Amino acid sequence: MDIRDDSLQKIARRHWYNFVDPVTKLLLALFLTMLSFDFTPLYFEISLVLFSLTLLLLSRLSKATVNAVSFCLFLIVTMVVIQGLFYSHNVHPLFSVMTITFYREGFLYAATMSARILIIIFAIGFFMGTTTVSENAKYLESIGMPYKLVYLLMSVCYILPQIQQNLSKIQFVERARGINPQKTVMQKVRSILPILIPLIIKTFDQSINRSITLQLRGFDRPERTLATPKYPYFKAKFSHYLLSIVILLLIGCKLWQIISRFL
Amino acid sequence: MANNQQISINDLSFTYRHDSNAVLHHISATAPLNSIIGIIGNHHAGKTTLCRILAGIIPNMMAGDLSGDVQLGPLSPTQNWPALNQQTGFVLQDPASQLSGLADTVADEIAFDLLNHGVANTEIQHRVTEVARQLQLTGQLQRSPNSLSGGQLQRLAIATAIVTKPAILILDDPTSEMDPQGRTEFFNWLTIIEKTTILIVSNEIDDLCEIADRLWLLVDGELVNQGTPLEVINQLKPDWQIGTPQVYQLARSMNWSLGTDLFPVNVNQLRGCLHDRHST
Repeated sequence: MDIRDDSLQKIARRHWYNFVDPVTKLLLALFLTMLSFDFTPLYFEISLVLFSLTLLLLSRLSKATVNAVSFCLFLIVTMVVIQGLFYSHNVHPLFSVMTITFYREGFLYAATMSARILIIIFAIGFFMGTTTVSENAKYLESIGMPYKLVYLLMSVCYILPQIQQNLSKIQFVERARGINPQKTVMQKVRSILPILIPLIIKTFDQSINRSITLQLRGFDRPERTLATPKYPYFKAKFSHYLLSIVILLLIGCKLWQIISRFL
Repeated sequence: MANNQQISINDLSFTYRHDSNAVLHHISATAPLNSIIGIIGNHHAGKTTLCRILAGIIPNMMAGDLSGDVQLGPLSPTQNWPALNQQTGFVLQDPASQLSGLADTVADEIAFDLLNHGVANTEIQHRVTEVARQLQLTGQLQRSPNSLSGGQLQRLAIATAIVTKPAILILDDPTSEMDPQGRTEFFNWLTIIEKTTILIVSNEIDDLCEIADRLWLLVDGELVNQGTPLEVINQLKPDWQIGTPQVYQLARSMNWSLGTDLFPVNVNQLRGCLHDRHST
């Protein structure tokens, strides 16, 4: 019995999204983003939001994605209010609350921007929620990316979660010792400031240690064998080519839209 | 001429870059290969730095002013580091930093070293199972490394170091997060490892005296004593502030000496001492 393969089956039962390789997921996120920038009608933007949201809901909705979405909803509400009131092309009133008037143009502009933000968050959330660092590393190496570059990418991916992990540990200890109750937002912000520099230094220190360990463990040995990618992916190369071509076309299209304004 | 059958450190000094104070001062020590060497000393004695030099982390990955000579058998950490690294397993003080971060399961984490060594897949399965059994990680093989307790994480770090069957094993305080039973089992397990030179930094003086063939005692970056645990513990000076084993404390308080003004430092010696006393 292959204990390593068996382990994978137990930890993560195979779902449909496990058959989509990490690069395709990233390209899909880029594709949806480019689509939202190229085609601006609000109905189209909303359909893209719904599509990316469906992708997310049919996969794994992680806590980080929920946090990111809730933070963005706060930004979106702010944006809608500001643009609805003060957008420079505001002409037609949409509705009035007491003496304050919201305008149609500003509201539509904010709605389009919000849709783009949501599409990016949902698509990236789909990628983040359905792939692990290990799966990415194995796949990128298996498609020919040099291991040093893979390690560099993975190290970068690790820094933010590591900072978050260290921060929550420090805050937990602070709460346990009654140093900072952290009940209000201001208290939370104030509690982060004094530990920010030691936090970053500690995280970098851990990154250096990890880098040393990887060298000691022979990550750069010439006899190193490639780990088998985690899942058998469905038509990975075809998806890469197809999505890359479509993305290039969409980028070209967007550039042409910008250039044609000056012609 | 270097002796291929021993570890020899000759007049070793080291100062970290951007630091004016030397961490190690003119250290000279020897020990035979395939023995267990315990490295003891208080905080900032230079134990971790010495381990880093022996493993070749200094000067290959960390810079500083290094002088003197180190030989581990025929290999030198400065001159033959790739060859030495291939034969060395190292366990860091912080076990979480030991993990690659590129594995989803404990099994994959242990297999990582073997993949790097180009070991065949069937052999990988065999060795991962075997090492997990030795370090009581069989039940955790399919769990994520992030879900392990401190003691289990340390055992995983040790598993990653020994899975490649290194000839030299350098362990920097490997039991700091283990429970007493796990610690005792670990030290017992160390004694059954064959054909491996083990250098272990630990504050568990009782356990070290049970298993170590030699002790190196560091105080403020200087090697103040080296020898068998019996010799080193019996020659401790109070101002070094090094703890003594309970067996030694008991024997001393009861005045159960081994006859040459030396007091036993481990259970076997104590048993022998009591046996001699009863038979006379």
